[in-house]
Amino acid sequence: MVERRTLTVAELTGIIRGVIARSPELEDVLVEGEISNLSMPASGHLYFTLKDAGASISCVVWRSQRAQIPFRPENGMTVIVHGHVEVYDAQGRYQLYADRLEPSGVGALALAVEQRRRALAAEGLFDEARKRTLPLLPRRVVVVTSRSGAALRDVLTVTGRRAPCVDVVLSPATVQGEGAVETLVLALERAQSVRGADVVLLVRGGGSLEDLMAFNDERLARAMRSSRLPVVSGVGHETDTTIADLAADRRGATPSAAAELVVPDCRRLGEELASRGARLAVAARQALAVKRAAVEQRHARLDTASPARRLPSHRQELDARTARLRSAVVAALSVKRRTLDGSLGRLQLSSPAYRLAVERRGLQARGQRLSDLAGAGMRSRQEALRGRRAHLEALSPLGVLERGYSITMDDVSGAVLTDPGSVSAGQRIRTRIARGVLISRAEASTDDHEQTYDAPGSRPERG
Amino acid sequence: MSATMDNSLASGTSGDVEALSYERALGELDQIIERLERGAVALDEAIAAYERGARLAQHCARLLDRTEQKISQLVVGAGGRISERTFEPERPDLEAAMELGAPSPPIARRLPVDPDDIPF
Repeated sequence: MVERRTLTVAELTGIIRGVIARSPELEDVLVEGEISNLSMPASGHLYFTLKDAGASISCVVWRSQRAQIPFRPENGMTVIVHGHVEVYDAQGRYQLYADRLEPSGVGALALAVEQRRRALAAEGLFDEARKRTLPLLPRRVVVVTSRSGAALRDVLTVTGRRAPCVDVVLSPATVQGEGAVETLVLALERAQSVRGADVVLLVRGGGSLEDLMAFNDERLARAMRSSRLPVVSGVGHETDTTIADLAADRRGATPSAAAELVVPDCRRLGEELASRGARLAVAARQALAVKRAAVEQRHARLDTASPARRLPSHRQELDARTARLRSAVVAALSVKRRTLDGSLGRLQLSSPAYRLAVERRGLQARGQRLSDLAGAGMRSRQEALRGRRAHLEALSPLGVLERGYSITMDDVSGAVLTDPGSVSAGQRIRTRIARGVLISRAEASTDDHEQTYDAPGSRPERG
Repeated sequence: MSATMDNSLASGTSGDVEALSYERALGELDQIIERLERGAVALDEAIAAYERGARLAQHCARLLDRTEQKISQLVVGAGGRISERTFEPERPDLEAAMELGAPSPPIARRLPVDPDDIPF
């Protein structure tokens, strides 16, 4: 048996380590595989197994290297690992010591952004419920962006055109590169204290993913969420969606679009206001017209119900009642009177005055009979008297008329005319002659008796 | 008719209108218009509501009527004091854009309401 030297485990491991270390192809390897058994202990180092269909290899990422990896490795993730192979003596195995990790298929930066987006979304940072409404017409808009960028120019173009009544305040920041996040956060903080400001615009023009990385930073997203004023973002072009866009209260696809969200078109607002003014005037007029109609309707009803309108019918009713009252009284009285009359009649019949009258009539009748008897004696004497009266009459003036004399009288007064001067020409006179009267008119008169006697009827004559 | 609306009408003096933001003023104007359109207002209230509505509309018009936009920039002075300074952006295209808008008469003058003119 040949004397052979026995190696220690350490010696053997050292030989293997040497073989591996001297292999140039193992010093700088790029290998693709799926991550499994991922562990991140408190030490900060990263351990996982990289495997594919037929094999697996242990991988280590030292804490110092981890900062170079923008995304967070996860089990099941297919990655391309760069590093070198070395032997881990204590466990007797070879390991891949990685210094770079790239997700296969998608860029590391994009993956990192995606992962951060998911984490913040899970935290609720992008919840719709947390979004604030924008003022319809802001007084002042604070723009957080670069002092010299195209984004600011775009914003000013939009605000100047749409809303010259809105003031713009620039809160300057660096929008890319080293320290950009810090200046953006600071500019956002300063915006909070701007007097009269009621909305913040966070804008940046288009660029590569690397250029926009400041807007994908978690610190900026958190600063936006804790902003007192609502924040509207407008970063890059339509296709870029940064974490800042998601954290914003509203997102514009571009700086110009964001500015349009923030300021209204004042001319259109003015038109809407004018139409409201017209509506106000019409509504006020209508409200008053309704009141007026109500008043008029009540007035009409009041008029209908007024006592004055019912007075005539009241009066008529009163008249009818008065008439009824009167006839009732009259009827009642006449009944009473008839009763009374009856009583009076009976009373009269039995009264001493009635008997007195009866007695008186009896007495009168006797008186009459007595005088009748006396009359018979008188009659002869009366006839004697009549003879004498006829004789006397023959001597009266009337007897003279039979002999042709006449008496002339004033026709109106009947006074006997004796003086011609009392008769005027044309006066009607009445002449009494023996068997009648003549009516004539005086034509003339004279004082003496020298006139002719041709017309005895018209001759003044003394009776 | 809500209680808050009654309060806003009761306290309706011309002074506090000036302090209102555009949308608050516009919102109140809309409430007044709707109330008047519903007709559920007492007579004196209707007149007061119209007057306030007219004031709100005037206030909104005044807010819109400013035509000169002020642009300023925050500057950090000694001791970290922040102040504002007029900012002069290089904006040849901006000025061109502003000239595009033909000058229109002030909105206040085009408003069909006037707080001193009650339309009834």
